[in-house]
Amino acid sequence: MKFSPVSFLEWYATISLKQRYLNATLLFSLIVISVAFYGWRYVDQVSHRQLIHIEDRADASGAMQDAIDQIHAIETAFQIFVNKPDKKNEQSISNLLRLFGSSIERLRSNKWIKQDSSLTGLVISLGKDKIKLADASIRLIDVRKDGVRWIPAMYTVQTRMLEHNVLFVTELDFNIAEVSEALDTKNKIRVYKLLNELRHSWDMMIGEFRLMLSIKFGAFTDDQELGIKSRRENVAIYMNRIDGLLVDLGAMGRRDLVDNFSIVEMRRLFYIWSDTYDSVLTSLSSENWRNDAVVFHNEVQPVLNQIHQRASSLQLELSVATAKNITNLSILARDLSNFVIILAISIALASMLGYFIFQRSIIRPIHQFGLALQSEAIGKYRTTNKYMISKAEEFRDLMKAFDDMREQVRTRQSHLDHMAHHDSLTLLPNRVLLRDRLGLAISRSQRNNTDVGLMFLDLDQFKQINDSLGHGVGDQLLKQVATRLQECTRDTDTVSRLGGDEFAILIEGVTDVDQMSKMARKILKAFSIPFTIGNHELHSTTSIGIAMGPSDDITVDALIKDADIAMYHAKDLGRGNYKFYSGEMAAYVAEHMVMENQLRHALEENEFFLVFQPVVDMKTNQIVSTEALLRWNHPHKGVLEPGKFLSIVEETGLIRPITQWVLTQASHQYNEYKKAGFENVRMAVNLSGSILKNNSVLDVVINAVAQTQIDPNSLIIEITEDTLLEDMQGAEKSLAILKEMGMHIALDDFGTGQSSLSHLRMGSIDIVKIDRSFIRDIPGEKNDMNLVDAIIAMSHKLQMKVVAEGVETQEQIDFLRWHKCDAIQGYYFSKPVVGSEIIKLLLKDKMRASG
Amino acid sequence: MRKSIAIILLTLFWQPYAVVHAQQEVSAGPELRLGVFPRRSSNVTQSMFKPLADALSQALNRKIVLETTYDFASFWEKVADNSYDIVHYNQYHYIKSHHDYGYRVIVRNVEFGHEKIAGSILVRKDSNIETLQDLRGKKIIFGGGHKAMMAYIMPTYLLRQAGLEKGDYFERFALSPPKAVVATYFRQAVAAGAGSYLLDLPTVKKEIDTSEMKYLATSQQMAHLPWAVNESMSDELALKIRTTMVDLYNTEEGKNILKTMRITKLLPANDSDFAAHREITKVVLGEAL
Repeated sequence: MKFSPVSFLEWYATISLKQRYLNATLLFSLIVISVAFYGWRYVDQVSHRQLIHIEDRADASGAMQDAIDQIHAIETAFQIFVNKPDKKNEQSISNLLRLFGSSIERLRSNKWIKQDSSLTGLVISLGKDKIKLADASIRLIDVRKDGVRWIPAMYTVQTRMLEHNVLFVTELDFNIAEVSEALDTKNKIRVYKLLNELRHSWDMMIGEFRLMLSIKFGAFTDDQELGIKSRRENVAIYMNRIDGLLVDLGAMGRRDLVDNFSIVEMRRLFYIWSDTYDSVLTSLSSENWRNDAVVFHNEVQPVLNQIHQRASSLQLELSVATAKNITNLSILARDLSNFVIILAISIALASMLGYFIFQRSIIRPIHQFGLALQSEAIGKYRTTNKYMISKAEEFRDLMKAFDDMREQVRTRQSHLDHMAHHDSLTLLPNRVLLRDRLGLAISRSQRNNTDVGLMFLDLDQFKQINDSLGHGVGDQLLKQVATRLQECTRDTDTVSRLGGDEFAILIEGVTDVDQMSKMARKILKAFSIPFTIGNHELHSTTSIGIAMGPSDDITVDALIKDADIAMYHAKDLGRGNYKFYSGEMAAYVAEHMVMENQLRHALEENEFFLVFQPVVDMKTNQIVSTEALLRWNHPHKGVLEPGKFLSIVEETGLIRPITQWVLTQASHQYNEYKKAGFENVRMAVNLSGSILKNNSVLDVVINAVAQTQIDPNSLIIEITEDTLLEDMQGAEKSLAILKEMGMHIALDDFGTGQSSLSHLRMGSIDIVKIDRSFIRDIPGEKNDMNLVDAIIAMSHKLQMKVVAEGVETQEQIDFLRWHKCDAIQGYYFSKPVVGSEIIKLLLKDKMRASG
Repeated sequence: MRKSIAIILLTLFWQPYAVVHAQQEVSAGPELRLGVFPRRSSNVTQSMFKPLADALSQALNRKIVLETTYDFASFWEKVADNSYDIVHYNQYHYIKSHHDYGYRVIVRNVEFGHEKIAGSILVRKDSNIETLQDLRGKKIIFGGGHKAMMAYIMPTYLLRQAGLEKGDYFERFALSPPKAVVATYFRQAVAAGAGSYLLDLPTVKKEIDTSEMKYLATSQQMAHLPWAVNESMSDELALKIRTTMVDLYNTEEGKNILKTMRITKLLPANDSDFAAHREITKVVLGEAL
């Protein structure tokens, strides 16, 4: 594959973000480390170099300063030595020169000096200067220590002039002494005076001469030249006078007034002294009057000057080098600052670039991904390619995962949608979908000017099947029902399951009501065929309610309600019927709702009351028990029997408080029996199936017993077969507990419900009450007679008492007595009456029994 | 006839003999001592001028001994002693040696392509020094001692012309003119006294940013460093030496020798070439040479 920048970029775009950023991080780190290392190395090298220079130069500077200090000290030492040329000062010069030499050696060995040949030459020159200085200092010392060479004039003064001075003075004093011994003549006196004057002049001259010498050495006057000139003039004056006096004395000597020889001698001494004075004067007047100064000026000072100049040059070089170092360090600092700034800018740019890349390769794709999720959330489907901003491996994986997830979500959504709109058992559309389709169908029917038919179907006795054979069988039955319904309908029709055992069928394009009737009959016919579920062959029927739209109603809810009402009425007609909705049904439903409200207030308003119907023992013709029957004193409708409102009571949940009330009232009534002495007369109370379902009966009964303190043994709990069908196991359990408490259990309306015989297997049943329907046609109806006989026999075999209901004729009584029925109940003896009336009946009965 | 032949033969043989003798008289001459003033270190001076000494040896057919000293005092002692037959030094040295010891100039340098050189005073551009009068009370570094013609005498002359006398400013001395300029760049002084093309020297450019320096004042152009011969040297020999040195420029080998000496070429020189130097020296040093 040919390498090209484009192909490289394309390849790079596909590698994973992890790899990409790892590469970038490594590269960036490498660059930063390299740059930092280079920067550190550069700074380190430069600063190290500068530091070494500084160190070396500092050392050179120290040595140079030492040398300069020594030179200054040497100069001072020279001055001291010149003033006081003793051994100590001489040694001091020698020591200082040696120290100076050692400073020069330090300079010679200094690295900073060595790296510059001109500086090296300078130091070598300093070394040679030192040697010269040492030589010159030796000469200076020698001259200074040598009195003759130091100030030649002084040597002459100290030797010749002093000697001649002393000789002259001695001669003079001798003459003065000699003359003073014989001052007898005028001339002698005159000679004496001359000698004294000579003496004085000589002293003065010597004094002036000495003063001049002092001035020459720097004493007494600021203006040396003027002072010396004055003294010279004075000396000259005195010399003239002395000369004159010596001439006069010479004349006197020739006259033997004074020792002429002495005078001649004095004259000679004076001339020698004055000649010497002239030479001394000449020497003192010359520039070389002091040889130590000459040596210092000609030999020592030039070397010192040279040394000073070289030292100055070296110090200058040191200063320049220091300035260079400072400049270099400043440049280094500036470079470092620039480097830091550049590094900071680079890092900032790199960060921005990194952010840009991060934004482009991660944030933006993530944002796009977020948009994709949002689109998905609102239901807008777009291909993932649209969001495929980055081809990096992670994003490709993410996009793939997103697609997979979306597919799964869609699948599940679809499934959920399906589940939300379909029944999970039968897979038929559910109520929600039905409503939706019904709405559309109504709209279409209005456009097309056709009708929509809605059937509501309810399986008859489904609960019994479910409870007796199990939910599994019930479910299978529902599924088969669904299949049969679908077989009965067109593809364009909607068969739906509403829940439980309720189904609905939506039929569109109905032009004739007969279509619905035909459909209903077809369905009923389909139900006539037994359902085979496993080993069971089940016969199931259905009640169908039919509503037509828009003729009955044009809204979904209304049409559904109409169909429901119609189905309700179809159920009332018995099993396997269909009913079309009519307006009256609605009125019935409305009335139903009104009654419901009224019932809710009935208990509070004490509109309920009990009536009691006696049960008479066939042998003794005594009342053995009374059945408590509930009545509602309706404010408008008068007294209503339970049949009129019991279903509503059970639907509304009022059954429990009403049952509680019934039990309590019945118990109270029993207590009245007891008060009246009829404690053997039991009280029978009917319990509704809904109470019996969930152990509520226990609470209700226990509360009533506790409240009324009635003996449980005096209570008979009556239940119907239908009640047991709903929850047989639960009911059996509850009844067993009640029986254990001491109560008696009666099975009411026996023979009318399904599985009557199975109910007799329950151990709890004490009394079987034969339904009135079996008694009504006795003795005319043979089947009924046989049934009753069988029921009595069977019950007796099971140790149960039998009570026949609805006895109204003597014939019935006779029959029943003949077949050994235990007790009877019916209008023949008494219609249901209020409690007080029962007491009367009991008293009457008692009176009759007692005769 | 025989006499004529003898005369002819004598004449014929005498000429070569005379020539050979004359040649022998030159080639057999004593060694000459070449002295170079210690402007640089001894080793550097040796390496720079040894090729010239060899070239002169070859040309003159006599040994040329190159002598160097460690300092100027030693060098001047030899000049004063007339120890050098040929000597190279600066313009002041020449006029002084000419005046005191009779040395005669034969050639003069052309350096960096310049036949002449001027003295100048340099300052930093940011020094706020605009005229020589502004240097009053300031420190000036000179690139040589009091006897340095271009590094001290000429710049001092400029100062004198501007009315600054000794004591009106501080004097300091660097080891060389480039070092004086470098020191001024690094603010060790306000001004430097040096030659007029110092800022063009590679050694100076290497050390400092010459764009920050400027020439405050420049003197007249003067003859460059001279080469002189001893007073006692014959004119013939002196001429020969001059010719040899001037001709170096005409050969590759000669150019290499000149390059080693860091000289562009050598030009014939006369004493009158240094008249201006005498005038200026008189003003600055008070010496009438």
